[in-house]
Amino acid sequence: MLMSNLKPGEKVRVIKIKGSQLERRLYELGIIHGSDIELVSLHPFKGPLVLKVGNTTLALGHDIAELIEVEEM
Amino acid sequence: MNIAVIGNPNVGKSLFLNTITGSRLFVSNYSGTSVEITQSKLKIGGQTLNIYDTPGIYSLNSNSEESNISRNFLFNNDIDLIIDIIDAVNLERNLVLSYELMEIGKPILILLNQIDRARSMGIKIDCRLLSRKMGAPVIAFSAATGEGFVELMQLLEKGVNNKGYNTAQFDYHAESTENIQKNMQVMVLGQDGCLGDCGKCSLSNDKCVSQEDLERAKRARSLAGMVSNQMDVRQTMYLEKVQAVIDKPVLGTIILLFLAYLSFIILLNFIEISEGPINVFLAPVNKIIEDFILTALPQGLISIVLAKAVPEGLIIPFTIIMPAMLMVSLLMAVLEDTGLLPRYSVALERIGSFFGVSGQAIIPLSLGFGCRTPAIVATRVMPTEAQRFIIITLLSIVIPCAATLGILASVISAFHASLAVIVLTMLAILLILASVLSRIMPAENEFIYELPPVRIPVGSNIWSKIRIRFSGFFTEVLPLLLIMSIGIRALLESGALEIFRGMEQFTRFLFGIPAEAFVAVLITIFQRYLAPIVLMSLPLTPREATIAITMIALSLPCLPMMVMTVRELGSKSLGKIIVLGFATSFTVGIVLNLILPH
Repeated sequence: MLMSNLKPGEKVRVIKIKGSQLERRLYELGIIHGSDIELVSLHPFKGPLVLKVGNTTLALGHDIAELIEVEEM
Repeated sequence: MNIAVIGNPNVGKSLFLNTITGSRLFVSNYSGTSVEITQSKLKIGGQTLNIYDTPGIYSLNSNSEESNISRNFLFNNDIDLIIDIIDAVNLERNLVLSYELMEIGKPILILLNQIDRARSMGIKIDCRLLSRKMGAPVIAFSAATGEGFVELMQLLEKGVNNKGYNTAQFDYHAESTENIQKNMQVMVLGQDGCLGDCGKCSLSNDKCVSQEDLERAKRARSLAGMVSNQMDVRQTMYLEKVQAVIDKPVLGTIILLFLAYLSFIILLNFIEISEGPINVFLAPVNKIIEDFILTALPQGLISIVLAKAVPEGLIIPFTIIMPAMLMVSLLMAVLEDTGLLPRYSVALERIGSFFGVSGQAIIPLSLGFGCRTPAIVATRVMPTEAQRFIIITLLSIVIPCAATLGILASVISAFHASLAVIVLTMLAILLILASVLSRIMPAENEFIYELPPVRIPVGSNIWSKIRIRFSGFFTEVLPLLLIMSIGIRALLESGALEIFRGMEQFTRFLFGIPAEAFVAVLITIFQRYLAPIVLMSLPLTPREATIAITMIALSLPCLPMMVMTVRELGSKSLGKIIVLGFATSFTVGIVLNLILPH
């Protein structure tokens, strides 16, 4: 499923990142194939997602989250 | 000897540097960016070491300003030692940069920072194993508790005595320096190396992740797993609970907006409180300077201009601007250090993207209602120069500061001008300008940000941030302000504006106001505080007053703001803002004249 469809509290693993435009930026912040991610909160009206990767908290735009395929853990 | 300090953003580099050195100076301030390299000096073993702080980067091989500047700095300077600061709490991600640094081939010292925080989170790290695996000394460090300080100093001193630091022996195959430079060159030239979807080439690229990058990430993950141990059960700390609330979409946004409002109130009150004593002190100084110039110079235009402009140029910055700059620097430093600032861009992302600006814009805009000159400096938090320009333009033309509000209020009530029309027009212009400007400017849409942990601000961090923001005020801003004051005064005293006095029909036709009022508007646009003086004596109807006041309210920024804009964006941008300011003012006058009933 897509990261943009997650609910707060769900823990997932990244399977695929579609499109290479943002690959590097995601890589820098620790989001690559195999990374473990927890959704902290979701802002309404297609607002940003707040996630936890390891002990780091990140914010990701909704459109970017739609490019990341994840699977439940 | 030169030491470069490198690390991810938010690892605590600032605090580390404050701990080991006394003063920090700006070395390079890359104009148009908020990226800077600072230099401090440290005396050890009879020698003075130069310690260079680089901007926080996640990877040396990216094409961001921070990465490019850090990379160029490392390669174009004689660096004797790299201090790699890694966050003990986020080992895996930090080690990726460490591996990249190893490839450079220069001596490295790894500083495992925030070890106290890691401990309180139940994380244990085997420093010896890490050191063996990385082939470099590892010092567990905490700027807060002082742990590791002595070890660090001893190690630095050893290097000084040995006239150099040992090149690390690697358990990891480093490429020769020549190869590295070739890689770097490809990247600097642009994306041309890209083969397309994605063979995962071996060369690093600005947008892609190369095979090497993935290798490093894999190694970093396995090494982190090897050396660190997370205890399962741990108490959620108080700050984490606070952070959880702030990161909630609705409640968090309300709290953040309230804090922005609070900052504005604090600024307003501070300006009010400090104005009194400063005025009392400076008024006699003002008079002395004025009298001195009038007696020292021969009678004539020049002496009059200087006698008025010099005190003006000196008094205004001190009475309002300086206290406001101080308080804004303090508020911004606190917002940054507590980790709240980037959260504004998250909470207000939807609204911000409608106007094409980051949600962080609310900070300089709120502060602008107190005093706009320091608010211009506060726009440094905006992610791109285009957005800085938009916010600075809005501050310059629309947002009324406390002083302006006071002046407007007195003039509005004196003439019974329509407050509703004035306020509505200002709101409309705010929306129109913001929308138009953001459509014109190139848009950036990569919304990926790290949110640093919410924490209690650290005193020394705040102090050094204030000092850095405040620096240059006396050396750069004041002289420029003085010169521009003289220029404006010369314009006003020369009577150049008087030619408009004869244009009664012209001004009535366009703006519906008498020529005298138009001259008063022009004068006030240049020196806002003259408004009461030049307007009060005119016989204006409420309709005429409404139009005139709105034209004044939506026009040019005040002089200190102009100086600050030149300093932050350059004189071309100021030119654009001035043209836009005049255009807005006159257009508003014409439109109001057309739609307001007589």
